[in-house]
Amino acid sequence: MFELYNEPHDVSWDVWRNGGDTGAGWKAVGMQQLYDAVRATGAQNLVLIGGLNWAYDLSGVPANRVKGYNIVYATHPYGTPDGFTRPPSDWDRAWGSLTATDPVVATEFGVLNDTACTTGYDQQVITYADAHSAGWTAWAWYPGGCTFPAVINDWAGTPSPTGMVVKAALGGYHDPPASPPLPGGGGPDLAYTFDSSVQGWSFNTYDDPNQQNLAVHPPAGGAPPTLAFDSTDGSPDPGALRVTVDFEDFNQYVDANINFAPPGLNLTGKVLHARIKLVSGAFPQGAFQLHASTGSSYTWGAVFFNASALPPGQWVDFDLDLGAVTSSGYDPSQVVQIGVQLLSGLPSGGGTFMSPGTAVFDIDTVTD
Amino acid sequence: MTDRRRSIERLLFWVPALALLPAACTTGGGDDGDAALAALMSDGDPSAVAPGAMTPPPPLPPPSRFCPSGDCARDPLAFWRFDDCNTLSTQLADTAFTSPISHPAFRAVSVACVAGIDAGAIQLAAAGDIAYAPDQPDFLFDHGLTVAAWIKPDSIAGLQTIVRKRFDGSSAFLLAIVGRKLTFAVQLASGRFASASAAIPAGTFTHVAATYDGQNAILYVNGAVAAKAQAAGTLAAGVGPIFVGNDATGRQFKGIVDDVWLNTLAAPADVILGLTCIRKPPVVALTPGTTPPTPPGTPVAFDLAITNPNGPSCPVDSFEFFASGVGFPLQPDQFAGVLSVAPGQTAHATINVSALPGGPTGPFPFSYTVADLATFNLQASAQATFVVAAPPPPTRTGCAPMPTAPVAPGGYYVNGNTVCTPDGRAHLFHGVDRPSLEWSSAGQNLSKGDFALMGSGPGSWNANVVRIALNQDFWLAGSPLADPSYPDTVSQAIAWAEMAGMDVILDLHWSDQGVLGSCVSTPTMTCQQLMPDATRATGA
Repeated sequence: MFELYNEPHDVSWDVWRNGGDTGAGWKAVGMQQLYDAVRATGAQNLVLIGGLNWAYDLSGVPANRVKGYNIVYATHPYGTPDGFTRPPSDWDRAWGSLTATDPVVATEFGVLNDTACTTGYDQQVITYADAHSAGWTAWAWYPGGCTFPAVINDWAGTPSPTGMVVKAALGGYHDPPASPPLPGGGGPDLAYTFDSSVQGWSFNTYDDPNQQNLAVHPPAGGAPPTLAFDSTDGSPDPGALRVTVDFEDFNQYVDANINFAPPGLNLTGKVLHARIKLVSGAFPQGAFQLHASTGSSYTWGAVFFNASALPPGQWVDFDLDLGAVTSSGYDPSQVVQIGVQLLSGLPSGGGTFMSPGTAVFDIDTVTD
Repeated sequence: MTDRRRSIERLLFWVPALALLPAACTTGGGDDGDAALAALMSDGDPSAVAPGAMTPPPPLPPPSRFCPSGDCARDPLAFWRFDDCNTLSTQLADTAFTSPISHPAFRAVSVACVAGIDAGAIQLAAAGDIAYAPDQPDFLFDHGLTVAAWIKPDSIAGLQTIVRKRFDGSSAFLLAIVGRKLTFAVQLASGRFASASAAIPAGTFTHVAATYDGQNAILYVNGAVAAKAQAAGTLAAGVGPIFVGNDATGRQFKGIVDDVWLNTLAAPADVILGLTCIRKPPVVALTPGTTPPTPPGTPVAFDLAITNPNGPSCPVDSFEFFASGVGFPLQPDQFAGVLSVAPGQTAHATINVSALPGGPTGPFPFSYTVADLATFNLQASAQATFVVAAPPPPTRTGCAPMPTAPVAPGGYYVNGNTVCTPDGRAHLFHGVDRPSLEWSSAGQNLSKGDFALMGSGPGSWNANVVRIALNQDFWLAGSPLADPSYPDTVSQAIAWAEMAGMDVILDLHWSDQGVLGSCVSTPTMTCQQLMPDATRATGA
């Protein structure tokens, strides 16, 4: 299906349909020409056409219909926290009335700049759309926060407050597509590219008294390693996960473990990849680890690399072949957690201690 | 004036006049009565209380008046309502406007502005409290007199000037409390006096009025004739102010005075009765208060009930009603109208209101305001709520057994308002939007697992469609921003979505203004244009 243009606005209904001068120094194409261009390729797919006022207002459609077939009209009911913009009381006029004659899909909706993470407007859109046999797609599957507005908090699919409303509604429908799902195969099941700051990664949140994650030890009070998004570095695209480890004294050690929790992915026969770069400093006799846990007991599989051998300033790829993990009960068809970890020798393992200084690593492109 | 009478005046000036006044109505002529009245009318030096008050006015002929009723006996020459009494000015406006000459009054600074029976009033309490109107060229009472006021005396003891018109060393007429009674006295050009008295209460507002028409001096209490004296003649004429609440001899009224009404003709009895009318704001109701949900275009008849709350001394008033808060999408058949309502009665107007078709739905409050045209500041509003019903949800056209339009392989067709599968099943799209390919040619976090989370697998969100946002400048080969791998990235994303059991809407999300690559998104600017540009419409 093709949606001809996202959010038309500030042109007349005539320009909307037939094209013409935008009044901004350039010429617009009209929806009729765009529709005709689609059909000229031989495509008979559904074509979605958004209304004016940022694809909200479809009230002018009856007088300005695009000629053709398999046309669906699109609306974007976006509210504002003050409640005055595009309120439910205006929906009959703007798009509800058109559902009497045409298929309508709300291809975006939500509350803009909603710092309070309210859910009422989204629920009203869904209820109204259901009552008018209109479809909808919620903006957006992207962990950008409530002001985006986002339906997920992280790439693990944890729903935001509005996402909970959307997920609950989606769970209540049973309306499979006309075609059955494509058979799987090819392509990564996981891809963490760190091309933006919102990636759903976090430090391991437990502080094991023996392993003593999350910190530089001892002495107590030493600064913990920091985790940050770096927008300038990255491979292949800009954006990487930056870990900074600061040793202030001799005899300190570190365990910086960064986890992501996929929802039980089947990675049978796959190899987990990650890419790391020593940006600055040194990490003698430290290690980099790529790991994946499976099943309800989080059976551990990991591969270690000698971080001291990393050539400074270069990206180096590491692999964890999930099929080669020999842990008892390891089940790559149920991967529940993956992670990357930086650690120097641990006291319990008789490891080697570090000397004062700062080591900076960038991690990128964690995928299967 | 004879020497004998002057001596009596001087004598009586110091003697309480109440001891000498007859108990009931007196007609001038008897020496004793004249002497007492002369003493009563006599007054000291007005310059002590009203500087310059005895200066003769310019010798101009009195101008002709404009009297709204058509009969100047029925309209005041001056009307001091005291509603304007305030601490910033001692001036008290004349609100009559029937003469080109205005007749401002003034109060002593110590006179208090208080609430009267009809908005503002003046209260006299301290020694020396007085209000007065300087003499004016049209204060000519040779054709008669009407003087009226609301008073609330603290007591009815002693001798208390309510209103007095001075001339020379005496007074042309006087309305006063004398010996526990209300007294009206006039001095005629012949030198004779006439007076009439009646009882009034203390501590409550009483309307007092007096007229002289050249034959009779009539005293009214609360709009009814209370006493009458016959005395043919013409009121004594001469220069001097009108005093209210006190005089040059300190015969002070203590209490509240409101709405002093003055005319140079004798008003008829019905006008005096009308002066006792104190209007109140109308009582307004709009019913029904809330309509049942009503579809657009269907009128609802609202009853606007206007009650005239005034007492029986008030006339039938005209009330204007007007839409003071009726907005889109409500449409009334009457925005304004006028109804006449007698005191104590209720009149009704029917206002048909409907909602414009195609407008918003929901509850819409609206209001009408009603104003008494006799005193436009007396207004009241009533509100009601029109609930515009949502039109009934449309019925679906449904699907024919065989497609009624061309169908893309594995796709859909549209039949009426219904999206149909080729096997005749009505279908609705429910899913999520997947951004990032509009601002990043590689996309962000695109993976099979990511789409699997949205789609139909166990534990996922059960979306049956995903809308993927695209950017024309990443796709088109001629663009500086073109990424040769972009079409493959998009194809891969489509494949992953279809593996997860979802249809895909490809959305032309961002574009440029006709120059490929000209739109680079920044945090404050996206490449969302008004419309797609004409030069690249067909992907050339």
